[in-house]
Amino acid sequence: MRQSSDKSIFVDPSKCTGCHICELVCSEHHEKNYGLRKSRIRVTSIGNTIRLAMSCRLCKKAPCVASCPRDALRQHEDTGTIVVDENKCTGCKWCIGACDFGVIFFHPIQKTPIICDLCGKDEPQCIRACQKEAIQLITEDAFLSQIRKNAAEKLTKSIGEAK
Amino acid sequence: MTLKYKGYCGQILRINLTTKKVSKQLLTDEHVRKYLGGNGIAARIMYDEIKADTDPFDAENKLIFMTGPINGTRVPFAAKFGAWTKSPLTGLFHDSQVSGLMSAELKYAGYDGIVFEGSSEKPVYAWIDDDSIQIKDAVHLWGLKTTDTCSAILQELGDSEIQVACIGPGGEKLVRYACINVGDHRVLGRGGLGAVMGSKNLKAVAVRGSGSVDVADLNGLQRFIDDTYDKVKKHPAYIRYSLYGTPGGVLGEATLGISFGTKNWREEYFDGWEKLTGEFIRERFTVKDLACPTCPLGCSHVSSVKDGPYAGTVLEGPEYETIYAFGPMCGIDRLDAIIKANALCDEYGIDTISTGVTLAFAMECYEKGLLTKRDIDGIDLTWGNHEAVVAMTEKIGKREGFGDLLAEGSWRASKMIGKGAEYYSMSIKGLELPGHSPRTMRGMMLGYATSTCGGRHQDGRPTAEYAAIDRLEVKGKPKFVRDVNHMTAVGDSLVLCRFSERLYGFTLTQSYVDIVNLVTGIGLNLQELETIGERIYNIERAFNVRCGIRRGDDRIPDRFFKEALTVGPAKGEVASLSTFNGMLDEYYEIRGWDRSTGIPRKEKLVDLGLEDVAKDLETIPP
Repeated sequence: MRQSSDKSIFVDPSKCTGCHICELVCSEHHEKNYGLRKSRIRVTSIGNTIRLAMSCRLCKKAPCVASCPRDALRQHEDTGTIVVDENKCTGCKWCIGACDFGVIFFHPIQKTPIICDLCGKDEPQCIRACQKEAIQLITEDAFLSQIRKNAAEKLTKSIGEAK
Repeated sequence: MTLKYKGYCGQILRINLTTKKVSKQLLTDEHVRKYLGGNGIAARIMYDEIKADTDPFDAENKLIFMTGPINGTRVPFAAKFGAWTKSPLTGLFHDSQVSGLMSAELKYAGYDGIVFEGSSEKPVYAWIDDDSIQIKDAVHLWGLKTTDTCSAILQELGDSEIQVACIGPGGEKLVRYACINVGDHRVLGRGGLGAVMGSKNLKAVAVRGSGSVDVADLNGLQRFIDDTYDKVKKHPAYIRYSLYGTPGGVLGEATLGISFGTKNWREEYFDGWEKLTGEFIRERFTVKDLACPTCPLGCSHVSSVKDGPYAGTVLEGPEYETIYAFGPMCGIDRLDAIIKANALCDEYGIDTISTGVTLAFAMECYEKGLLTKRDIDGIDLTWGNHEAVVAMTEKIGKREGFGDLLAEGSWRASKMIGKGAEYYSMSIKGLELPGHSPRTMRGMMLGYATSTCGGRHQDGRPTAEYAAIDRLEVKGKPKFVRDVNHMTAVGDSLVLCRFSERLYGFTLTQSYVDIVNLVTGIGLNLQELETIGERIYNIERAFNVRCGIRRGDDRIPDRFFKEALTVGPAKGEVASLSTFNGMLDEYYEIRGWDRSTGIPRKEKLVDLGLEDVAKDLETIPP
């Protein structure tokens, strides 16, 4: 049986406009105020044409968890999110170095890592607030079938046009 | 901080570039209640601290960066950042706004604004990193174009997410319409703010902040935001915006036959318009859709030129105003050339509107024989010659040859050329006109003439006359223009994107009141917000009155009264001087400004709680 942990956040780079709404709503939800460096999702910009919101990938073998010398990080059984035990965490930033995606952030005041928690029991706020429907929490199967559908549409359209 | 209201940081940085002294000025509750933020606070500082006889390039002029209470939050359209100074084009009050994260970053660093005073002996840049303020050497950056400046600073400071505002060679060389670039293709465009920055030897300002912004009523604000998102999704104008951006307007203007200023505003209908529409751009040039921070619609589109002489040019834009200024104004129907000219303006850091309109001025002077080919460096400035326009744009950015004269702006250049060239400067108070018609829109005519910044469309607004009200109607327009002035003054104080106006209102409405109250907790009503807008606009006017502005200066170029349109759907339309004078009378009357001089009356200023200003103006000669 599939578990909720089989779902990941997928962002469509062709839809992401780099509007930062996901970052602001993340800070709003978790911090009750607005600060981009208190967000658990971050928009990466490269030049004029690349915008992509990125957050925790919920790795199956999470290097951040394995790297923590104090065992302050563990992976939630149901959701696969990374939970930080703030009593154990010393703020050494080792987990930040271990993350392949640069999506573990460091809270500027608490001085502990902050990581996407899929907003706990709520629907992830970034998904709800994204006005371009660029962010989804879905299984890789569902994500891939969407991509295949889009590609197939394009292909058949071009065949139609060629004829 | 002792400030009672949310949304603000409660302090402004003062950076003296002569002494390198940095200090902090606390905002007071009274300040906030009276002037609200960005525009209001900056206008008050300008009025108090910049003298009437201070030249814009004097060290005594000040350059003010300012945010508003909503910046840094998720309020839709809240990503603007503003700068204020005495303009080297107009010699008057001026402000400009730009999108991006600069305002958020500055507030996260803990400051509502920065006032730059004095002038540095050597090139420097300011580095604001939370509590740490450094004035750093910029000798090695002087001469660099804007994108190179940004990347050099980001590399030097070692963080690609720092916000950088900088000038290019245009600002360094005091091109009177140099802009301040924020990031790659976003600019504080109009009025020569970049030249003032250059005169202070301030190459750039870099900002990083790790803090946050609190709001008064988070739950209420969330509901307001959700509601806004819903309305945006259903709004037909916004659906067009998200597809075509500002160039989406070309189609409607061509249908009406107005506003697409052609060959230096001789006409307003351009034969090649079909190759300049938003639809045409999307089909041929658009490679990516972007949105400013907080924006649910996203009107920004990245263009890439794939072939031809300008192949390889990529930029965010071009915006409608740039298409107007380099397109029909210069007789050009090639978007690739317009995109190239736009990119050059961005790199040199000069305003696309003033550059294009000044070039159109030069083209007409050349056509009329007021300039010879020798005068213009042998470059054939004839209508439609895109190569000449691109070449001359670069010369302006460098202040090279004839470009040195054009760098003074069309108004000053016309004075130097003489022989009646003034007639061909399509400027008001020295600032070149954007692409909205004073000839065929009665409100816009009055809005332009009375704008405290001169020839721009951010005090009087064209949107309603395109979309909601009869553009030829005169009745009620003076009051409408006044009410719009108050909306823009409040909007620029918040500091809010103007494209929110179709949603929040062309004039002040409960939406603006809600935004202010949910974010700040001040608890204003609509009448009180209206009074704040009026107070701000009167302070701006008082600043200008001290600089010598009177009724006679509130005018539009004579061409619009003398030359009726001869082509297009609006053929025959022309502005009437007697109608204009009647509207101006009525506008002054409603404003409580003296009808013969245009000076705000004492009673009006006292009513607005500006007793000190009233006293100052008492001794001003009529």
